Amino acid sequence: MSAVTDAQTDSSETQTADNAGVRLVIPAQSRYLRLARLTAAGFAGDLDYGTDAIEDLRIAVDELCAAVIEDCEPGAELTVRYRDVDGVLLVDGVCDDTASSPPELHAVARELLAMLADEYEVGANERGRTFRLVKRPRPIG
Amino acid sequence: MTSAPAGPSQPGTEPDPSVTSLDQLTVTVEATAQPPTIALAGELDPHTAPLLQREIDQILERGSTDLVLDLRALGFVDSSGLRVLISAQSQLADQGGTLTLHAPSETVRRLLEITGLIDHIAITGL
Repeated sequence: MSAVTDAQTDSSETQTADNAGVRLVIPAQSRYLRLARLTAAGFAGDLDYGTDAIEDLRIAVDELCAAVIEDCEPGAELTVRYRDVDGVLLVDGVCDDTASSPPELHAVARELLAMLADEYEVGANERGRTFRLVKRPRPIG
Repeated sequence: MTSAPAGPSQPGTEPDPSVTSLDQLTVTVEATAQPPTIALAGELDPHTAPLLQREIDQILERGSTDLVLDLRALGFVDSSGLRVLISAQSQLADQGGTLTLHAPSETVRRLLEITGLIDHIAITGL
């Protein structure tokens, strides 16, 4: 069964609530990254983010998800949570591959994230490889 | 992945153009065009970028020094896709050739601008 079908039929895989945001659980495989991008775009669209901000977000989420799932064990899952905190979009993710070291971002990915994300970080803990992303609707300055 | 001829072909020859799809990316290759052209439709990400890399490698193996990537139907590209473009540009430049990106969408063009690639890769059809 594909992740799309899982997300549509199994409420345990995708949860929505006004304050809890959206939680997406997908196989930790690159072919499912588009679901993380789609969810990011939909969530930001509901928050009235502009077109450029949504595109920035899609790319940033893609880059960070790609980093945490790279070379992970077969069967691992990627959980991505999207939240609106006081009008700022927070995205955090974890790939439950506990044998992994912290993700390494390629140079081009780092360059893109520096331009497109307001804040981001990657790491690893007892739950696996993790990332956190902050995207504001517009630059603060 | 699926492959299918998109035009007439002779026995013993590769169809030209040839069409290959991998999930959200469709790659149409006109290897005998001058210069060879690869048209991309869909999304270029870590899952699909290797498909484009293979097609570019095959064209380079034929000795082509110039290559056109038609990006008008490419809606998304990330760093994995950009790395393929950068690599192709570097390989072609080493042979005295040129990589040309044709008609990138607004989304892709903005990414090329952000990364500065727009100043280093030939772009037409803007």
